[in-house]
Amino acid sequence: MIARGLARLSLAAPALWLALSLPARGDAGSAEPLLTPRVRNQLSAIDTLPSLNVLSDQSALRNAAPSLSSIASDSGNDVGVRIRAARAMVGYCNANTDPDDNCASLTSQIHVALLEIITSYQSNPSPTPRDLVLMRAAVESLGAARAVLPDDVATLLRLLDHPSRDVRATAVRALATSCAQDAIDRVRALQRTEPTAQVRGELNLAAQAITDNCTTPPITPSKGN
Amino acid sequence: MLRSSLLLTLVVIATGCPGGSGEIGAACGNNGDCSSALQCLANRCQPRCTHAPDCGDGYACDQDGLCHQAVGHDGDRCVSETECAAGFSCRPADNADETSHLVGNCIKDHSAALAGARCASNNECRNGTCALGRCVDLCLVDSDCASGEKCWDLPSVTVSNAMLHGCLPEHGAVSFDVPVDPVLHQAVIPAPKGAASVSLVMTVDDPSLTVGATRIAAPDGTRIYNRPCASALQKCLPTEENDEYFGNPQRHTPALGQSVLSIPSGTTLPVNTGLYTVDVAAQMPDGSPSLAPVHATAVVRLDEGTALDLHFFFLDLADHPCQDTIGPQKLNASTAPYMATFQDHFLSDLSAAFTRVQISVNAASYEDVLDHPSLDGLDLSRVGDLLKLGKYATGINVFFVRSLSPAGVQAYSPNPGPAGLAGTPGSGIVIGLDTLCYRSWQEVSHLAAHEIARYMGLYHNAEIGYGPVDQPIHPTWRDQIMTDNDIGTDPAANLMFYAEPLSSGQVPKITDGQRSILVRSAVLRSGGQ
Repeated sequence: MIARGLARLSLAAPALWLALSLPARGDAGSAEPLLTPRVRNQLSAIDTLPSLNVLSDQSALRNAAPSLSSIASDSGNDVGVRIRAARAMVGYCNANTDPDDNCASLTSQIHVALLEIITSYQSNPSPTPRDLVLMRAAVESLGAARAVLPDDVATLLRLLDHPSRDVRATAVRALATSCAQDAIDRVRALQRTEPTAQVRGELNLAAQAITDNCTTPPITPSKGN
Repeated sequence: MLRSSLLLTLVVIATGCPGGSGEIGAACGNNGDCSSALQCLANRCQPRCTHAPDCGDGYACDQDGLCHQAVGHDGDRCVSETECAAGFSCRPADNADETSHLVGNCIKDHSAALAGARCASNNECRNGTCALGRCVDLCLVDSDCASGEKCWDLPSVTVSNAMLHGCLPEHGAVSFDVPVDPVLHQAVIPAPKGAASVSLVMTVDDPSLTVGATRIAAPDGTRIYNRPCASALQKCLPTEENDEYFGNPQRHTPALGQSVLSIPSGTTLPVNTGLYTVDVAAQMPDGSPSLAPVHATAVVRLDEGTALDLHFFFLDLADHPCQDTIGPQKLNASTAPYMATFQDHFLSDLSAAFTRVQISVNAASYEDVLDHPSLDGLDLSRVGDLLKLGKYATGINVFFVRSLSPAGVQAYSPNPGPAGLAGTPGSGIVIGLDTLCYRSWQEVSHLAAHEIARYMGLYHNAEIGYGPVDQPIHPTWRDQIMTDNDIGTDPAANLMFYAEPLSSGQVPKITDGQRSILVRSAVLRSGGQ
């Protein structure tokens, strides 16, 4: 099932399979394929996010965060794989807790990759449901990064008007997780107007989290299976 | 033995040979006056018995279906409740006979709980025997027990190294609270002879604390589990933690708030008759000991099961982004029983996965959960709030939510789940329906089957990050679930592979070893239930 499309392609069009397996943008220095069978399996886990330790051990993912960023951005990859890559990459560096130079650089790359996924969705005139779930994964990751950049908050605030309540709920949760203080007025305003109970609940939690010294813990990928 | 019976005051007259013509209610002088299916009791022809309680208090039922009045009175030795006259109970003493079984004496009944009632100690029971959380009658053969019960060989928890014969249900599972010794921090699980499985569910009130077993000793004293070192707390290397974890003959993983120990977890370590001693502990997030009390509940599966009831719960799925795949209507408790996509593509494939190993799947109930909107899009950090709504102890509570967070996690189950218990933070599994935006119902049925099997006690057949991809599981455990024929086959073809399969449409493989674990789960109904 996962990467079922990839498997079929590998039989029908070896050249395309090779292209999909080659490093994507930003990884020109390495000749190793990113989506080895093992990496693909780990980015297809049913009930866990891939372990950071495990992914870091992969020879193909020695630079795990940029590699995951490439996998998530590559529209030729299976959507399920891309979702997990988008969600896992943010766990590699948290600018709030690991404020070293390398980490800051990685964080910047991750932000760029995640914002690209989100803006790509927003500029798509006819996005599909699978585009939507990938975008939601990027939104969730952006919040989990907990390194709030002005662009992040602006992007998340725009999503509060999205017609899908699932997108709105994810955006609100991301604002809360990332302790986006600049968003508090908008969150409070929406508490009075949001039509669905699900999102209102998220708004209430977000208002509390943002004003309550941002005690919401960061969401990080699980350690193992 | 005071049980409800129509024949409470009857007197047995067991002379002569059956074969007369007397029908039910006809006057008789002995059994020979009644037709062959009847017996003469209180000078009336009555149906023959199959169990002693059919005859009333103070009777035994023999192999021919005839009631025999008991003659045991105060102080007389007994081995079965059926040996004590009406108004007396066979209560075990503190000494055992040459077979290590407790010797009983007929003691005049006093005011206390009847057989079958819940209990925590012997004193709470009229018959002086509390076993597996229930007042039980002592017995010698199955016919001494009520219909649906069997005379089980049980370990005594009050007299060391002693056994007793007691009446308990023939099929299914029994659950009961187990005291945790406040000094030794130990809980004891009694395993009857022939029990299919025993498990211990350990819970702390504070969900931020880790709770679980630290050591487990089998009835013969053999240590079958030692808590592995914690690499996350820098106590050892991850490889050392792995080696210690997989080196244990019994698997167990402490967890936040609640964890489950399920025996057996593999095929090489059977359930042994006697008392399992479990050291339990709660830990703070930094690994330091916590003084928080640990609550323990045992579940004993008495026989193997064959039927799996699924109880479906639907959060509010209106306006779902994956509606095109979900089906022509909103999915809820009213539409699911009739929606072709759900029934023909999801449920039928799910059933096929288990039918192949002779476990029948039954969609037992459908319910909506519309009063918990904050759980519609479920963050797994709150999964306990949802699973507490799982109200069925038998079968598995299956919750469908709009989405799961963290994104990419498609489904969740405690591993193993608290089989046989309802209303705990682990009483069910969760399926995130946002997966249907990029997968089919058939593919989601695979995820559901995978999580159901995890709930029932199966583990991944390949551990993420352990060994090369083509031989990914520790040999200790690979050999327990696979025969020689299975080894070398593609691990990804097995239901318990940790990742989604590469191709859909194939019924996932469950090995004989895995089946032997599944049928022992307390979630199953037995053929006789």
